[in-house]
Amino acid sequence: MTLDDATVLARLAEHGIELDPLNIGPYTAGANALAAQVAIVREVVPAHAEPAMTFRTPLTEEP
Amino acid sequence: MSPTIAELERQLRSGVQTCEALVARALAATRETNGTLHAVLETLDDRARREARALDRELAAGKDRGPLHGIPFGVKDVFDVSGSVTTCQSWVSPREPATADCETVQRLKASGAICIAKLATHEFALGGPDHELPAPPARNPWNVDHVPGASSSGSGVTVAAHVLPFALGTDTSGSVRGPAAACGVVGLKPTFGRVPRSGTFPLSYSLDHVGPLTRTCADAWTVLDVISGPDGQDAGASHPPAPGSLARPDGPLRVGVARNLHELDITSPAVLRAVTWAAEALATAGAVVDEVTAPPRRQMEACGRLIMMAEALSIHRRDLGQHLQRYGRFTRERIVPAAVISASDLVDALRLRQHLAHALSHGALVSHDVLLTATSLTPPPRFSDFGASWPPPPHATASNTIAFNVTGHPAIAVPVGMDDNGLPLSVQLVGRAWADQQLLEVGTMLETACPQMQPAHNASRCWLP
Repeated sequence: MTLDDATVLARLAEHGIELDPLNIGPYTAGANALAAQVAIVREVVPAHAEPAMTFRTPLTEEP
Repeated sequence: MSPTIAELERQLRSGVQTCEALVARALAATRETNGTLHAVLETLDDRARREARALDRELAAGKDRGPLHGIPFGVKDVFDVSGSVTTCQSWVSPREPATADCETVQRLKASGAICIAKLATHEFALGGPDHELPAPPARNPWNVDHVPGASSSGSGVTVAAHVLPFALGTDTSGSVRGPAAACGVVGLKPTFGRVPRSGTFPLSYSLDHVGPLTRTCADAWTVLDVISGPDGQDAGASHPPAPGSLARPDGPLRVGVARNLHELDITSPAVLRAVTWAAEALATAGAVVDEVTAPPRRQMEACGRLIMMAEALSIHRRDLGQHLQRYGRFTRERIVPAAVISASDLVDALRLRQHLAHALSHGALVSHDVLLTATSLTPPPRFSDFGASWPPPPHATASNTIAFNVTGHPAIAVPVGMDDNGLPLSVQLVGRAWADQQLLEVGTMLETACPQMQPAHNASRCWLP
């Protein structure tokens, strides 16, 4: 799914970031680049629910 | 003569050198080179000279703080140093000086090292080579038309140009290893949690690492040994496991070449040759070298980008809302789009991160002691490759580093020579969690096989003997 300028402007406004619609181009491009990364993660993230993750370190299980 | 920490240590103990003279020469070198390289944002002359004199008195009285006693260093300008403004190379940062040293600078100072300079960074350790920030971007000492990597640029430049024997940087997606590769020095991203980040301005809480840039792997261990260990402040820092639990099984070193991480269409032939050369060098040194498959690159990349940008937006959202235009164009164009990442997508990325770290620990790093891959996929790009908006062309940001910020495993960039255009080539070694010292020992094997890199900038005026 490709995000359009209006959608990106609306999402930024939700975060308190106001942009001139005439200058939205690079931000929409960046948003779509991140959306592509989101699609990859959604595609491969394990479906089952693992035990709760920890913020502390991804390596807590290591020796 | 190689002006490494180890060499300077010998000179100081033998009386050939004094701490005060070393500091004076380092300060002079910053001024001599900065008009060209722009690697230093501020020198800390009074503090450094005062500390050097006290350390000379200590040595004369027989008090020796260890291998860093009297050794000058610099820090990327995201580290707090008392009395100095932590600018993060941004117009947005407050202009009040830090009231205390960050944890790593405190530890280095206690070990006798002398912080003499705040060094160039890309804005807030992200951004890009932006010419409209408070200071110009640092330039690559091997060819000033090329960037010196991102974002601990000043750290890489000052070590490569022999202005400083070591520097600290931060690495969230490769910002220690990238400048190390671009500048031809060693850059270590330690195991996540090994080095506390207290007093260091964050880019991404769960991906940020603090690490040293040095001229040898042995020097990197000397620095790491001093700055390691939890401080009670950084929730991400923890104690290493007992040393015995990290012992490598008997038998030859097993090195896996992770071709799936670096053999891409965009990868330059020179980089591929460098990895092949390194594999052959390690095999000649007695390692068993074969191929291994690391977790998929695109998954680790996607996972890391989402986490990094979501956390960066969390840190900067208020300031972006209040004064967006005071941010550099690259910084705002990179952070602001993270507003489209949903909460559940971030949680998915964090869950995937656990899965990928587990897969690496229990897969490739069971069958092999160390992985070998490229650090950057291309030689350092030109400044002219960066246009008015982000992103630049793919070859200008073709790194191979964020995977190990995601998994947390230790990784080092080791210089292995030059390409046909006189720009440094580097390979990356990745080790088991907490096995940073073993990893650096493998890096030393490569150094032994590779002629040492000469001073990068104006060698005839190299400031050290």
